[in-house]
Amino acid sequence: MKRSLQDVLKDARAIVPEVSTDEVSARIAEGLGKAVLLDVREKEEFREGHLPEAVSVPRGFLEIQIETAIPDRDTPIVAYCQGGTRSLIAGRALKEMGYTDVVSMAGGYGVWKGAGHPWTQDHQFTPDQLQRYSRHFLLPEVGEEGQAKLLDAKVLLIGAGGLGSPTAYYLAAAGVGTIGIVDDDTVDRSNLQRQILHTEERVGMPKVESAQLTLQGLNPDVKVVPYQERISSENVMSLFADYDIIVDGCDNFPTRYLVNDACVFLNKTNVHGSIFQFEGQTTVFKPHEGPCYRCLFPEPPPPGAAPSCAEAGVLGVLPGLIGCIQAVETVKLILGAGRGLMGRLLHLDTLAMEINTMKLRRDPECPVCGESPTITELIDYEEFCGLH
Amino acid sequence: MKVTIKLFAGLRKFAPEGGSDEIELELPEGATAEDAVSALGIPEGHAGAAFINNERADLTVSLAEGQVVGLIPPLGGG
Repeated sequence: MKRSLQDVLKDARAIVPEVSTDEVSARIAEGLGKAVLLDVREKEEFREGHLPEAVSVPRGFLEIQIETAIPDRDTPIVAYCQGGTRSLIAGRALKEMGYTDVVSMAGGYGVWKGAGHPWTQDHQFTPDQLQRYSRHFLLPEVGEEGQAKLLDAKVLLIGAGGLGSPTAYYLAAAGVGTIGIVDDDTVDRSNLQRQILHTEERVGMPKVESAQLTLQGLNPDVKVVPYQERISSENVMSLFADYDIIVDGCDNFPTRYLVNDACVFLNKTNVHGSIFQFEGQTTVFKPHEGPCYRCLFPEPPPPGAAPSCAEAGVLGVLPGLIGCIQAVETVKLILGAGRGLMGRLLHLDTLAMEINTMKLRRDPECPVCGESPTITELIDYEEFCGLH
Repeated sequence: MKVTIKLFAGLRKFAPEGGSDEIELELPEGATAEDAVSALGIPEGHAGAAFINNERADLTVSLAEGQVVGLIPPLGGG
């Protein structure tokens, strides 16, 4: 039996009620509750504009993706397309899959937009970006929305050395839109055993300049902001002000305490990494929500007790591992995905290849983030660490 | 009572010679993490952060039979 489109639509209307754009608008105004606005148009149509809060599952992928997008079969669904036809057919397919409460918006997005109802447009990716980030788009935890967050994010790296190298590399590859790098040092041949941002021919070049060359060669989307200066109590507040997340990959204790205190004062999240010979540590300090560096280590080590890489040596691969974990934590923070390392210290021992994850706690007596702080402005950190 | 002390990073050098960095210590009842630190000859201010059964704790806390005390120093390098 041959059936026309009209026959198919007639059958679909019998099981999928139609609602007008005004009715949908009224439902949104009342609060959607558990209901989902389901856009079944092609991705290109969705990108050009869609109802606020709508979930995109193109008609061609409907049966394949809907159970991930809307797992509960009793979720009320308002399906729409451009003109109201595809959503009616999609609605019937959803009914056949056992979705109990499906309606189709008559007239579709065309009528919705024409009537002056609110709509929104997602980040517009270039064709190059659609290719570059295609593997991110496939992950529900990233997707186009997450990638737009990464491109809008501003991350400041303290140090372009062992830790800063892998962190910067992967953040740039991931498309973190603005990466600031603070380092006053120049590339030395002894750095090249681990500081993979730099190259043999750049020995003598400022590290921030070398970092900028490498990162912009990797991803032209990324704006690299070099700060060839030593971070200090004088410049830290203005350096941090423009950034969302601070990644601490520095190589000395005065700077660690300085970065910590400035982050607490400015309420910036600090993604910490530190290394010694074959071992490394990493955690996330989120001021006033979790512990800070001083809650973990209230006192700096006595001078000489915790030697630097230049004094004690370091396995070249080690900062690669710790710096990559810092990059993962930074990306998760930007996306709001997963469980972060806040409140947990990850300690890696590469010789035994053991990872210990220790539970941290806020110290109510912490001098910067405790109940009655005694340090309320930046101090002399060299003096605090006994280096005068 | 018996407790286990686990030393990390630069503190491993305080393990008894030729021994593992996981040390079984016999301590008097009511002994604190600080007592364990001095029993191992770790100078004051060098012990870093203490973790009892993987949770951050003060050195002044009294220990109990069978507990594992981790001592983790801050690491300077980057």
